[in-house]
Amino acid sequence: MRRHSTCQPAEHALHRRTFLGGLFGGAAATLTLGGVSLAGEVPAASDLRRQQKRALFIWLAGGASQFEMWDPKPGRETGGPFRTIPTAVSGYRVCELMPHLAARMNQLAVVRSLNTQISEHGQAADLMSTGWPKEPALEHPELGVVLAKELALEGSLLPDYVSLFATTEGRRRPATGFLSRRHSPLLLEESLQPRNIDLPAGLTPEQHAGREELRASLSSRFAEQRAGGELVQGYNEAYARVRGLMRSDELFDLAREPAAAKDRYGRTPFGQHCLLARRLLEAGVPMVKVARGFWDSHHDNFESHRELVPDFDRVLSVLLDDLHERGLLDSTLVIVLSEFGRTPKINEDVGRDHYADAWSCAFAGCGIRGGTVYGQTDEDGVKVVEGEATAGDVAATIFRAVGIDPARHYQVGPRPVPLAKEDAKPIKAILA
Amino acid sequence: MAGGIHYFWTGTIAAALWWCGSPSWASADDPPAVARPESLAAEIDRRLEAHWQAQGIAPAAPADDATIYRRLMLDLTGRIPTRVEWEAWLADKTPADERYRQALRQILDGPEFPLYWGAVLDEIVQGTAAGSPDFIDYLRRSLRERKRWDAVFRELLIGPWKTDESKPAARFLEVRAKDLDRLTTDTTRVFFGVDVSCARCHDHPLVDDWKQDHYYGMASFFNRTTGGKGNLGEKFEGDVTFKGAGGTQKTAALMFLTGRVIDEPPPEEAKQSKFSRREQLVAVALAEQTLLSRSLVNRLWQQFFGRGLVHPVDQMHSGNPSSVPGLLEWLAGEFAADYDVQRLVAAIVSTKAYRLNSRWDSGSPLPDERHFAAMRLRLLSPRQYALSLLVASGRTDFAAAEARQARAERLLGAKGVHRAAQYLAAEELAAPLLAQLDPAQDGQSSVAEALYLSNNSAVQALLGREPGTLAARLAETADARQIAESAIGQVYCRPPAADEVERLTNWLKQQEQSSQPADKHRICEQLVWALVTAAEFRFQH
Repeated sequence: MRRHSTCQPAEHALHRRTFLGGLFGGAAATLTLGGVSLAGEVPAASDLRRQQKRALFIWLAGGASQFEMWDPKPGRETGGPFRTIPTAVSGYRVCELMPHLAARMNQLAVVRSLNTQISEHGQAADLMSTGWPKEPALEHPELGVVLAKELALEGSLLPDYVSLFATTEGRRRPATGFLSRRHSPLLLEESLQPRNIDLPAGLTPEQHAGREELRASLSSRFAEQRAGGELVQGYNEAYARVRGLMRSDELFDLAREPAAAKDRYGRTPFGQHCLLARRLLEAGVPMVKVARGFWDSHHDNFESHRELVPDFDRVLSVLLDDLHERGLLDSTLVIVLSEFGRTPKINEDVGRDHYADAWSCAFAGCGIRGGTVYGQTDEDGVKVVEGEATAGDVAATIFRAVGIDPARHYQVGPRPVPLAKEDAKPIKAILA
Repeated sequence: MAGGIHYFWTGTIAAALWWCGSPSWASADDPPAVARPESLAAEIDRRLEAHWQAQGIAPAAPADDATIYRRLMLDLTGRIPTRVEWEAWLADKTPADERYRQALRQILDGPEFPLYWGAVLDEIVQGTAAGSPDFIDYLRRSLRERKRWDAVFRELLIGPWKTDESKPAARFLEVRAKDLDRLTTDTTRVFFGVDVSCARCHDHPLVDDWKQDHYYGMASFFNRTTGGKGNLGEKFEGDVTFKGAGGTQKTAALMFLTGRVIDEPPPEEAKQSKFSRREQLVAVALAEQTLLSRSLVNRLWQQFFGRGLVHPVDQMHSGNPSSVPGLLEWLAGEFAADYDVQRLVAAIVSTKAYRLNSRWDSGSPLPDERHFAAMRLRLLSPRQYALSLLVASGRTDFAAAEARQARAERLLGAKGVHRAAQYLAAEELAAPLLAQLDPAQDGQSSVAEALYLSNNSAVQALLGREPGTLAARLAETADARQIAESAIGQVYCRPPAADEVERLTNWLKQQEQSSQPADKHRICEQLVWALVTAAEFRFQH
């Protein structure tokens, strides 16, 4: 019922031509990238790949505690039992549960001054993951969907967006909203292998290809001189991606990673998911989301964070190092975000409840000025006292970091809808 | 309210006529003031032709008989015709116009139309909340009883929800009762074709018609609605207040979209007379009539042509007129004479415009879709595609009732029970596929659907070789040419063309040569797969 006309930036059009030239000019290439080998029609444009921007969305589902991570309040009633440690950024201390990230703080930018107001899971997750308040008649696309659409290399045989989650809490499928379902992410839900990419039982690859050839030729013939024939073109393009995705089963196969890499990331689900994320990003998937659950600590906040934060600390540190070593960190934006933070008040179950008035998020990589700590909360972490930022500001910052103008808009019916909300402002201080 | 009684009676009379076995549409029993579908169709065509002439457009040629029949079956029953059905249609020597009229009457009076259209209306009304079997069945019964659209609208918004049959009608409100915003926005979008949600925070920035007063006026009809599932109610006090321009706090008037303000009795009196704001909304919407009728006509037009006369269908306002001047306004006026959905449907599909070709052979450039000068391809909805897959693959045959069954139906005056049971069985088989298939709305195709159809084992099994399926029957056919002809007939609902038989025959031979040992079953399965995933099957055309 809704439609949109997309604004293709000039450089995308250029990429498309470059790529099509490569593909249909007969250059069938074999691309090998750090253990990921994709035979066949992969764009020979390695330049393009190198300058390609990517994003990794780490979603701490349920709401991670800023007190036990980025914005500790030692010695205060709200502070909890943990001590703080110094970081690579002089004068900035974080919770002692994050020693590895503390040492890498010059690569990270932290925003400690989010005030996003909504503290109910569903609505807050919608707000933070889209950058927009909920509207009854307009469903906004998730940030990852927009990034995938904007960062995608046209004609790539890889998925534009892969979304993985570790637990049921993270099981929110990224909404395509008013954008077409064409931009739906590939979901890794039951396993780390995508569904329906294996050859059906009893079919040879030749038979599989043979029937697709027939399907495609019948379809193209049918579409000739039809009103709406361009819809068939899009339909055929979807089928044309099937073979590429089936060939990418290796891409999703962690068994192909050396044991050392698996050990380095740690044999936890989050560790393995981040390893897979790195593998995907490196191969050219522009957008990956990893959701990590269990942060909703209404009970025993400190016990749960004592388990969760060190895992997060270690895995993210390894990931940053790994991306850096492979020359990918400068082109990959890493986003660490939740739906909200946790209350300053420690409740009678030694838990912290939902809190959206003053909390934190973090970024690294592409477009980010490492070593910046933006905004401040008061001494108990109850209120933002400096640099207040909204969900829209976070979205605008993300777009700006990867070089997308947050004021660009999609046309939805009669309404031009900007990528980030009209009043959103990128947090310039943390941008490179 | 007098209006209510009137509408109640028209609905009841229609139902009674139905059960007496009178033809349910275009009959002499219709009130004389109401134009028959054929004359409505003729007037629609006259207006379109005048529009085309004014635009310098020569429309596409009429579609061929087989295409028309497939199109009609898909749009009215949600599935392709069986081979038996389309062959009988092509063999029928009745003059073309009369034959079409008869077929249309048979489909509209048959059991499948209300079954399918109950689900269609569910999606129109419920949007993302669609899919409740009880609510769908309520809509199905309403269509079967030929309940009028104004009566349905009334039952959705104010009930009564007293009997088991009428209770599900409360669902529209129930799923939205906790969210005044959504209740306001969805009601105005669905029933009045207007999206006022932008006017929540400020007067609508793009549409002059919509002010904050409209949004909050509409919200006022719902702000006293209480409860949720099973216990909807309404209070007799409470107003909507909002921050107007300049930050002044305002109390919303009880105001309909047309600007008409409803006078309210003072609180004490309101309590005594059980003054219901929702009842007032129903009354004013029916009295003003334009928005309610235009919205449904436009949405039905979209259903049959892939696009509303006003597009998008929830953007009816003065700055976004109908693309064929006057047509929507006039047709909505005709519809409001009796709010009979079947008569409206019959009128739209009886037009020549609905029967135009999707092929554009003319040398001139294709006119924009808003002129409806050719039938534009439309992605089938998941429901249409899944049901049609079952018919094409031979999983369901919609065979006529056996003699004894037919006799039992006649004895009980329950014609069509057999067919309804077949339809429900097919619907159950189709259910697991629905979520995997791309919705028709934006016409875009996802790679997820392509992967699912290409590789999912349940899909391969569905198209597989079990006895009775198309693949199994083809495999028993000796001659490659015959296999090709038979497959095209069953899947595409038309006689095969010589060159395509040639192509398919060559493909079959090629497959046979290249697979060792040749597995004929396997090859036939692949042929069926290619035909049902090809565009001619996946699209309405």
